Amino acid sequence: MLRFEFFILLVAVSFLYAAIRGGAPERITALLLLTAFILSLLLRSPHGSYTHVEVGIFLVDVGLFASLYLLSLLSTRFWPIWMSGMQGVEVLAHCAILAPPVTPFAYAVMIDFWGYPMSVLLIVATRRHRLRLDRRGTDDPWVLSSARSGRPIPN
Amino acid sequence: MHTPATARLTQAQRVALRMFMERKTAKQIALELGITPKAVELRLKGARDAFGVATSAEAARLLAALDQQQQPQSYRETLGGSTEVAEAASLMVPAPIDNGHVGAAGDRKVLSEARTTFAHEPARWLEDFEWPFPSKGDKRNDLSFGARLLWPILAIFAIGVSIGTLVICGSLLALAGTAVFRLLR
Repeated sequence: MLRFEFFILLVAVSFLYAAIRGGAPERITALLLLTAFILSLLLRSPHGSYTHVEVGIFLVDVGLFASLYLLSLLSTRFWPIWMSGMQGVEVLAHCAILAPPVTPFAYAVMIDFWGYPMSVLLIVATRRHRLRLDRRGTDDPWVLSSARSGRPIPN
Repeated sequence: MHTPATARLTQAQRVALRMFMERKTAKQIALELGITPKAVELRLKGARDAFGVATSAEAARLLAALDQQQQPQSYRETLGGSTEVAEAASLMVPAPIDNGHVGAAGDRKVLSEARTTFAHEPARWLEDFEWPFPSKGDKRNDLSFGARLLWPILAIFAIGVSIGTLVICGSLLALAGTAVFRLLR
């Protein structure tokens, strides 16, 4: 139970830090992660046995992966590439339960684990955004907006 | 007086080549000029075609040598007072070029000596490769659209393989530990 409370604390801290101090990609991701977390709790099967594919969680995970993938296409940040990679592994983990050697415990670990590194990555990303902002005074969030403006990009 | 090769070079291509000569990557040049890395590559390719050489490094060396021969003063002014490149060029390419013409023999002479001088030049493709993480001089994600499409997919496999390897190694270590423990008992 302590582990679950620690996870809620981590999600809350990463959400608040990114929402208050982050740029547009960090804020969007904070909202996405929080929404996915709440939806996963709501759509989890009542018994939570993990003996078969958790369809609700699977759909939430696919949606989150698609959103992060889109973000990695549009953002000037590198971290969405790795966050969508982590989320992609989580999506694949849903398919792993169909393979006989994977036990319900392993399935549960595989789909519950990735919330931790993703929340930590969001905190690090927000911190790096603040550092860039302090150093340059600006931090373009999107590739298309900076390309349209045609202005030189500070190094 | 311009040689046929330099006459075909646009000012934009010259600027790109000179920055390339300062060992800047295409990404760094793009950032400084406020253009895309793709546009830098096109300028460098145009310069390579004008000189008829295979690599941008060769084209940059030839341009530096010609600048040094023909317009040393204006070249220094173009560099904003910096003589670093001109001096580097004079050290690298001591061969005189008759009448500013880069003929076949002149090309061979210049290139062979320049290659010798640049024998320890770091591999530029490593710097220009579209890595999915920030590099020292390039903190911003300016990957091409193709790279953006591909890297998240590769990241899934990279992370999956890494975790899988860790799990397998951990399991093997646990098995080995158990076996040793039983032997000792």
